[in-house]
Amino acid sequence: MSEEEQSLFVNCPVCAEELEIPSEAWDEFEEGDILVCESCGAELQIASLDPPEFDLLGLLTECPSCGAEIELTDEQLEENSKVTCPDCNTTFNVEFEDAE
Amino acid sequence: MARVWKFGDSINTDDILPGKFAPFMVGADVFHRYAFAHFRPEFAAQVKPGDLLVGGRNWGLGSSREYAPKALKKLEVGGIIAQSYARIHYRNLLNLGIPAFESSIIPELLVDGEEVEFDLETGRITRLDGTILQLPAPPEFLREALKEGSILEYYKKYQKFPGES
Repeated sequence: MSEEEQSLFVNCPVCAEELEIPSEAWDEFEEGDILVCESCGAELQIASLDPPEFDLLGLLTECPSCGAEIELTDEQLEENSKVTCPDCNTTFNVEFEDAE
Repeated sequence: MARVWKFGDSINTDDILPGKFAPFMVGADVFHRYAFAHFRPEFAAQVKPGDLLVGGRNWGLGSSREYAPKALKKLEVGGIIAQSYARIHYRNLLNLGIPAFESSIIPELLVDGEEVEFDLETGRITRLDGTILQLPAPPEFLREALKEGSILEYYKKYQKFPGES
């Protein structure tokens, strides 16, 4: 069996990155478990195993001015609104690529 | 099993190892026994190899003293999960071979004193109730370095960094 056949590929709902999860590891997951996207750092809760579906719990972004990490709220994620850095007060837009 | 040692936000390097217990003050062979001496006096005596340290935001701020993470290395801490890190300290952790993971949610979920299974290779934490918290696995170069103990040890042995041809 090839390596590909032993892995499950799921797309991060935030950055659309294809995450490779060994089938054995996926089999141990249950709904409610949490995984962190290795590409964008989005924190995802497994809503369904088959098909794989996730709820977004949180996402960190980096202030483009001072580099501080900022946890985005649901509102900021949904509305793609302006974010103000609590450290340096820089205001910036967060843009996401829709995976769907 | 790994025990979770939970700390809060802004744990600085003086919290991790107070300056008066630096290796050049108390001795390079014993300084690690003073890790968190003021902040959490029971820590150094009770921490076991492989235990997980969990922090909030800005873990490791303050002085970039390398002997702070070095104390954790000598105590064989299994890894640190924090919401964010001071960047020089983060680099020191990796240089010394202490896996450092970043997550905003997982540090909030983990409870001080709880026992978990922690698989460093895969970044997987399994709690006693079976819940899985899946961190991104350490990148290949770090796993390669950890086989030698740290990035520094790797470099000393091979005269190159992991992943370099």
